[in-house]
Amino acid sequence: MRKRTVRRTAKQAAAAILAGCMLLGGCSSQQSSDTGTSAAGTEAQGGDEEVDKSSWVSEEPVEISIMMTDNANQPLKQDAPSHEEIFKKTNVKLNIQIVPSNGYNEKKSIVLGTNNFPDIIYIPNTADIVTYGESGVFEPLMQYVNEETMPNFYRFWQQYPEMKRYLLNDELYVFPVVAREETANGFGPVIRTDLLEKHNLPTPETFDELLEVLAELKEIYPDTIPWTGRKGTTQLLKTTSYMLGSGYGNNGLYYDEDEGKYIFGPASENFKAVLDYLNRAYELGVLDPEFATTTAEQMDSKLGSGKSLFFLDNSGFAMNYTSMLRKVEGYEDATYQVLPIPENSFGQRRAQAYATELPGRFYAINASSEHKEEIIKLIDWLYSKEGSDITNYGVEGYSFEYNDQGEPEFIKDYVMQFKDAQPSDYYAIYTDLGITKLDFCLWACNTKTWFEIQKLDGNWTEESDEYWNIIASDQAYVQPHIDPPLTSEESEQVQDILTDVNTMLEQEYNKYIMGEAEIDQWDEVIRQCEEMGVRELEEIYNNAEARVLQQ
Amino acid sequence: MKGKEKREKEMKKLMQKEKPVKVQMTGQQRWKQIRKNKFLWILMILPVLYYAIFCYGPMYGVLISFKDYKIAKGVWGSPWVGFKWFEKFLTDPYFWKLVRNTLLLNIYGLIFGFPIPIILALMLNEVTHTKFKRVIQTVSYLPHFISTVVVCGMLTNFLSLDGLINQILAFFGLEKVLFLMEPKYFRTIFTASGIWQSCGWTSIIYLASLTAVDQEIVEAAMIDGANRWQRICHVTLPAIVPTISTMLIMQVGKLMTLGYEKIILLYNGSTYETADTIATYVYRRGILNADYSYSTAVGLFQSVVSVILLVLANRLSKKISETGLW
Amino acid sequence: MKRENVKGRKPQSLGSRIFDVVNYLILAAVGFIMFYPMFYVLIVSISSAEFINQGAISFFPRGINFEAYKRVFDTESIWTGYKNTFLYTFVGTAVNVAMTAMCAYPLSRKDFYGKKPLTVFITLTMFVSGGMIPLYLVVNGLHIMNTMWAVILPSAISTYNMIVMRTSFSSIPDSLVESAHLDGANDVQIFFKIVLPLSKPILATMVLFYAVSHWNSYFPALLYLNDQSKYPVQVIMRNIIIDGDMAQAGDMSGMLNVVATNYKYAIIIISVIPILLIYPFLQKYFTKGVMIGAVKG
Repeated sequence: MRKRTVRRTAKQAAAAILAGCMLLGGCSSQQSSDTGTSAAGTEAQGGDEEVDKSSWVSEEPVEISIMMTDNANQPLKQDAPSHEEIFKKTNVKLNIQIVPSNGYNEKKSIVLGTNNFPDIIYIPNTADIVTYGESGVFEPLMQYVNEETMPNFYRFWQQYPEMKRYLLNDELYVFPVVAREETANGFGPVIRTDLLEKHNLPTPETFDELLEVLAELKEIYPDTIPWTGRKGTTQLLKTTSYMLGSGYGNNGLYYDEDEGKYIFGPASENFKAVLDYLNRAYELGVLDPEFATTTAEQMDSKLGSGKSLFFLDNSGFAMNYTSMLRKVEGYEDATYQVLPIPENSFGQRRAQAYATELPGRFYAINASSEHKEEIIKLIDWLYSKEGSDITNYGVEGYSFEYNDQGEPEFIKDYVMQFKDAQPSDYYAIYTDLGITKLDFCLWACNTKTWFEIQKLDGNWTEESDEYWNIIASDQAYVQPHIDPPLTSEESEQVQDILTDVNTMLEQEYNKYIMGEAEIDQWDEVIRQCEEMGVRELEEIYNNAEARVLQQ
Repeated sequence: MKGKEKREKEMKKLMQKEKPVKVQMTGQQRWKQIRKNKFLWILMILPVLYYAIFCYGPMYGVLISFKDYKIAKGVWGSPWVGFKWFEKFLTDPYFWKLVRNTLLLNIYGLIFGFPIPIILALMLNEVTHTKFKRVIQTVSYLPHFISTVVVCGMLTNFLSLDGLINQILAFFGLEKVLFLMEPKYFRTIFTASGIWQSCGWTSIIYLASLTAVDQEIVEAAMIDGANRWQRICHVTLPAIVPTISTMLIMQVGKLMTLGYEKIILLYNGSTYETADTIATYVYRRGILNADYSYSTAVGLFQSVVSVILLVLANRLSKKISETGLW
Repeated sequence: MKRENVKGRKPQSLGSRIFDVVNYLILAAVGFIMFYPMFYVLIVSISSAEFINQGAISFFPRGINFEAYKRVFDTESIWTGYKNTFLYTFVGTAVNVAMTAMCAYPLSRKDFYGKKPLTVFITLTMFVSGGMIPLYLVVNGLHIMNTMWAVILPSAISTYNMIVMRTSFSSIPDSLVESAHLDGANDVQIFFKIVLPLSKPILATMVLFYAVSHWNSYFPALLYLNDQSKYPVQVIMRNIIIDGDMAQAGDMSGMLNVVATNYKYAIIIISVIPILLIYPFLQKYFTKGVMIGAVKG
């Protein structure tokens, strides 16, 4: 009996897929033609009105090519309304070459290496400034950084002295993206607060208390795996080490704000506290026994089904998991919420935040471009209020309007269309308009527009409010430290040391976390690290840091 | 029995190639030879051009393994550093472990992964029910189309504590195992999943060459009273020996190379002991900064080993089965 | 030509019957193991997120819905990608098969003067390559950048496939070629009139292998094409599938990974179906006796 129904559903499913294919196929082609006409409509409208040429960078229309990357959450579109609006305002037609993110680095290094790249190229990290800056493929920019040529950029240049860290031998090769009213969040502990309330458990003030609370939860719910992670041991160390009094950065080396210097975390005394803590969590059955092999998918599955109760990673995931879990029967009131950063065994409260000022995105200009003058003007305009409004809010009258204070505000009717869109309301709007940080935008919003959109369409929840308040009032978060530029000899040495040291260390961590080795033996590991040159590594970075500070 | 011997002889004759008698030729004779095959040479023009332009044209790129490649200076402009990168790699504390793991994973793949597609093809070849055969054939190459990322995602799920495999173990009252944390299981997991991914696909080559088996010989063998097993061993299998040995030689030539993608999705610090290979190590080095000279040097090292292995395998194959790549 | 070779079936011995039963059983088991993962991808793609997250899906879809497919079909770039993929696959496979056959045939002839050095010259390229940058410069120098040819020409011949094809060609009896020579046919005529018609199974294999590799290829497109409107579907697909999984976990952008599993899996299904459909068309060439039949005919 059961078999038959299954077969029938399978048949129905197949039929539905087919029908769906045809229907949707039809729809989508219709839709695409719709967008086509609307875009054309905007242009025609522009023709009727008196054309405002005040911000034109050139009398003749110029086409400027840009190589950028996009991301599955926010695919870029060549003819997005915001890009059309840039053309109207500046007479610059953007020709965006979109390279998917998983191949961007390879393509970037090849087009740069063969000096075969568009007028503007997106640079995703500071290491590239060193690699390509000296080679002469990028236009040196200091000549333009002054009040007269680039008034808008110059304002930021003075506002953020940190930008000097991007200088290579006193020369600037990239324009950094500046964040516009970004709200901080970062790596933080997130727990099922509804369970804390239900069982009258106190909000943990220290990391030891946190462990006690998790152990108690494990006792109440023996089938759960209280603490799970995203991607293996290194991710666990990246997210927890700094809070627990040491640090890991991206590959072991981090800047300790309290010490004021670069430290190779795993080779420091404090790191034992990290391993000891994780070991205790493991022994108590609190930490996922599969911590070393978990994947993002498994993390979603465990937290989204109530099997896990706690994680320590990008705390912003809390909101995703809350809404995921509430869809499951019996979990309608479940809430994941971030905790104020607890105190670690050294009496510190500290956590890493994501950048809120300089998000580490850059654009470099091809030294052999024919349109350098126009590009500089365009970029300066993008740093202006008008340019930023268009690249973060889209088209005036279509997607946003100015309020009495002259601030842009999204138009509700426009936003409401995307209320239930995938992957999220705000990403759908970002994609539709071609706006914000992930598009070609130099003074860029990310959370600002996100909040405004969700407050308009009603997706903003009490928990979101609470979440951002907790983070905002927590003094523990520190901004990421911008690494100083290294010379190419230095980076080669760093690479040699790091690869060997990390290959050795990655084989050790699990033994200590799982209690197969005593924590005192870690001193021997530190000694091995020193033999492999970690102290030289720290010295290289601290010297480079000193060079920057001298400037 | 006599008939069988005769057929075997026939088969052998069919496969045996007349060895060309080596004679020193004068220039004129050479020219005559070329003229005799002029149409074959005409056919070869485009392929030779292709290899010259797209394979040998860029070959100068291997020079960067002897240079300190600076992307801005290009291949020619970068300074020479001699064998610096080779030295760095060959004296690396992990070198032997990396070579060992790469070789072992490949050898496992060869021992277990090589015969299975052949057996699969032979089994399919024995199926007379056309529909069944088609379904199995089609289904067997499905895994080839699922990208490695997804395959590894499924593997991690199957092998997790709550996963299928552990559920089966628990059913039999056995203790649960953290498969992905134990170095001793890695090679099995990697090889088995590799076979699963590719055996159906590779068997297509053998299926194609099985179509060339002379059905009259098969039928004659049947009349002679040879059973199924004998027919497979003495008629069908020998007919595809040239394909098998060609494939085997190429496999042996690849013993030193192994892609990193699947391994980095399955390994972790605990299993480096058996899972860390040349490719994954170079990959981890390159995370910070693309390291062209170093990775090209490693690549060249692998190429040299590959070519040596290939030549040896070819020679051996020629001795044993009288087929070779050249 | 006979399509079936079972007409003369004789009463089978017990051993043979046992053989059959065992053979069928093993193949059925193998078939199931091979089928399951793709089936799993399919059922997850039509299940709802709650059930997927609970890990509650193993043999039947739960919370059936087609939202994920709706999203896939709403993505315009996937449609242009499809169009491009079809074009590149079709043209590319044609070029590949023609070039490979042209290369493989002379090398399969024992009387071809220069066979050995050429084979060595070609086989070496399987193991030694100059890397991406010089190749990029070559493609750039040929002025085919950002065109279909940049995707197709650099991989016009797969040496591996060529050698497989050559092996198959050399199994054609020499006597056939010789007698054709005696009849006054030249090598081109022999190639087209005798060798190619006899090699349908291997040609079908090559079509399949090349078509699938074009279908799955993304890196050359990513490297040599600049306009998104020219990207094949794999580039778009990988962007969605890989981003969530392979992206460096330390990513400091603070971005949430919100690509849903069912969406990812729906994309896999959508991108795989067309190429799966070509196999049944080629399968008829993998029938026993095609070649001998042709010889006799």
